[in-house]
Amino acid sequence: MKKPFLNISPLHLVSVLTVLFILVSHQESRAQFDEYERKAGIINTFAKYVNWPSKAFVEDDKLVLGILGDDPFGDVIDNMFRNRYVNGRAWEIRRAQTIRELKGSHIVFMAQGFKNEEVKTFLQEIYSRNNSFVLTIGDNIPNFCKNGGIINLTPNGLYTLNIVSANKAQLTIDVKLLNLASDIIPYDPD
Amino acid sequence: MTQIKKILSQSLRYKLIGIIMFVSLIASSFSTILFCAYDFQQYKENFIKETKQLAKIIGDNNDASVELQQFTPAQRNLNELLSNNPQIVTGVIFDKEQRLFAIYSKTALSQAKEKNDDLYNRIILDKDWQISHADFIPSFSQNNTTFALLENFLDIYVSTFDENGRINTVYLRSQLTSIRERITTYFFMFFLIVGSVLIFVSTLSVPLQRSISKPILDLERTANIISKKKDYSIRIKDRRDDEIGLLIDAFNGMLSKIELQNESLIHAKEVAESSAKAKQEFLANMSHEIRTPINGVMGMTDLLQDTELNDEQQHLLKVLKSSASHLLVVINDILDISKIESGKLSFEEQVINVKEVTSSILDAFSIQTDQKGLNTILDISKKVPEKIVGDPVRLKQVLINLYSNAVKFTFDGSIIISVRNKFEDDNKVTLQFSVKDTGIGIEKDKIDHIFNSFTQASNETTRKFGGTGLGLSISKQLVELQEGKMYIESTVDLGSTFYFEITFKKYEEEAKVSTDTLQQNNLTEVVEEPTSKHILLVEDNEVNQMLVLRLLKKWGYVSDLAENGKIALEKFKEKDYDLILMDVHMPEMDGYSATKEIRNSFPAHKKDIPIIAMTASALKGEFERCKQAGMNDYISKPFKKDNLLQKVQDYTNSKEPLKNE
Repeated sequence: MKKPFLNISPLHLVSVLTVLFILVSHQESRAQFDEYERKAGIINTFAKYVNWPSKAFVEDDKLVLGILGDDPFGDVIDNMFRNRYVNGRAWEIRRAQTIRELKGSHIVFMAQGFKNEEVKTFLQEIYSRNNSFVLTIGDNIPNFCKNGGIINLTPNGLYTLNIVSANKAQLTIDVKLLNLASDIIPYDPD
Repeated sequence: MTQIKKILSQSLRYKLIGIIMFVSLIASSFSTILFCAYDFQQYKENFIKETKQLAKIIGDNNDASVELQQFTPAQRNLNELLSNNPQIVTGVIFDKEQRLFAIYSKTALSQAKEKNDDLYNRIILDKDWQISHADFIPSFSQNNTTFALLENFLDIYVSTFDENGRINTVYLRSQLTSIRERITTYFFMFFLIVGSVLIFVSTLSVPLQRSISKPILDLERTANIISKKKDYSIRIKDRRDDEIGLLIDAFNGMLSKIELQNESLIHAKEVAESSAKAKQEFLANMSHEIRTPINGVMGMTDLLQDTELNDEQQHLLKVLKSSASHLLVVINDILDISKIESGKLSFEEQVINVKEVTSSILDAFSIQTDQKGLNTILDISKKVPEKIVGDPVRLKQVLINLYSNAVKFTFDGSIIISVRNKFEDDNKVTLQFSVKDTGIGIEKDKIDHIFNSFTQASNETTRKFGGTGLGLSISKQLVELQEGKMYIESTVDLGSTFYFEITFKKYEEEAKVSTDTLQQNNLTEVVEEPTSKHILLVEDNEVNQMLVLRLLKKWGYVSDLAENGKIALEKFKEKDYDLILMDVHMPEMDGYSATKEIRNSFPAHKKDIPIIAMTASALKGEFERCKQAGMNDYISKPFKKDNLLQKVQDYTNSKEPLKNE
């Protein structure tokens, strides 16, 4: 049977591969600059595949992202999340240094720079109350999941996931996220 | 092709079977093709749908991995979903930036599998290795479907979207092996269905076509029987309501019409025959009615001639006699025509003396020819036998007709009768008679018509020369009835020659002796005293009574008279007679009955008395009727007195009595 593209000459193949290589390398070079752009995309994807109970949304339908600590995104995330919807909800981004200030957030992104103890305290504070319904995402924070955080971003675009904490927070994690997680720990800090 | 046409045009059966087969071939082919086309379309749509669903599943499964840019799970997922599907050769996931994100290439994988399983397991997730070993790399397209049956591939692109736009696009290339297998199945199915339908129909059509062809064949058979037997009362009894039934009805109707027509034709024929018979009877009666008075006229003229007359009276008597003779000729002509037309004319076989017959004709007309100053020549070839056997009366009649015509139309010159021998063998001789004149001749365009009855060369001729116009017609028919022929050569103003040829039997010597002696006897004029013989004349007509009685008395016979058969029987009882002259048509009792009575119920010495019938019916069969009734001989009226004398002498064994003349 005649197949299209079958009679591609080796020269053509080489050129195609070259183009692909350039594309990939370009992406990698961009990654240095756009790491947080990528991370913003990952946050968006997490939001998509995590299901909040309906009572989590009381005031309006906005999905609130709270950035705790020093904001690594800058206005990148604002530009990116503007006019973006997750399961029909628009984004709202808040920034603060304390948990209290981030009350009402559905997602809390914990930036780097906090000490181990601080992290522990913050997480305890978040999950101390029942019905907190908060998806906590750590930006490559050591022992984040062990301390009760739900998703910790690791280098190379991977992440670990604490399914016990997610269940505690009454969040349903899509099986796709479970599949893609590099490590799933059923760890309860208590 | 023409052979097929010939077969089809020959038999309704084959035609019907052919038509049935053809129609079922078309119908089954059409429906099978339609079914296959529909099924193919359904199958194709299903196939595309299933492939699209597969692509959609891949897209849905891998939206997260694409967004998280993790191609390894996508690679694994692709392999899991596609490796069990033998038809998918290539599967690719493009990310939202339309870059190739994950690939499944069957060719690459099978290449690896050929090497070793280890490598195969490794390269499932190795996107770059598969790209470098794939037979082709698809480029991005959006929602595009290409179905290429001949090239044996189906290309589909299915994109997955969320509210923010396209997440990924899945490309799948599937081989069409199953569709192609299905098409092969269609062909098998087509031949199987059409073939079995044709076999089924052909076995069915043979008995089924009979329902149409059989009644037609029956009809044809019946028609044949009818035309063979000529029995138009046969009807086809098959009761049907279809077109063949109508045909049968029409056929039966036609038969009824033919039957009716035949009946009416038979009826018409019977009517015609009976009217012809009536005509015949009428003619017989007429001949009797006309001949009897002429008989009287002629007889009386003869008797008157024997008396003392002065010259003027003699002359008047001559004119009277010739007028009566002419009237007789005309009547005889008319009778002859009617006899010929009714086919009741028969020919006698008697000895004919050629020279005597021909010369007697010349003699008969000698007065007229002498008056006109015509030379008459008789020219008989030496090869012509002296005597032949045939009908002398008819021969003479033809010759007289021709000769009298010649005399009538010739005013100067000569008339020659010649006889030539045309052909001769052991038994037969064909003689050619000709009558040549130097008369007015006949125009060429009239020659064909002169033989028709009642036709002369022109109406003017009739006025000028008289005649019934029957003579030539009678002559020609008389000749032709004797299997001869008559023809004519004529030049206007120079004259005509009429020829006729008749084949006669040759005259044999023994017959000659007896006839000679007989003739000798007749011709011997031994005068013997009449022993007074008694003759009973049975006759109702007064003129005839007077004529015959006077003649018999003159010849020396003693005669009595009876007015009808009844009186005759009474008289014969009382007295013996030597001879009875019996008229056949009489009131009270006719001659036939009287004769029968005498022959059956009279005493032995009386019942054998000779009886001579006297009849004016000159028709054929009259003599037979007389003989049947038991009469010895007959004499037709008007008779010549010599004729009567001879018959009377023959039957009374008396030689010629007194000769008064």
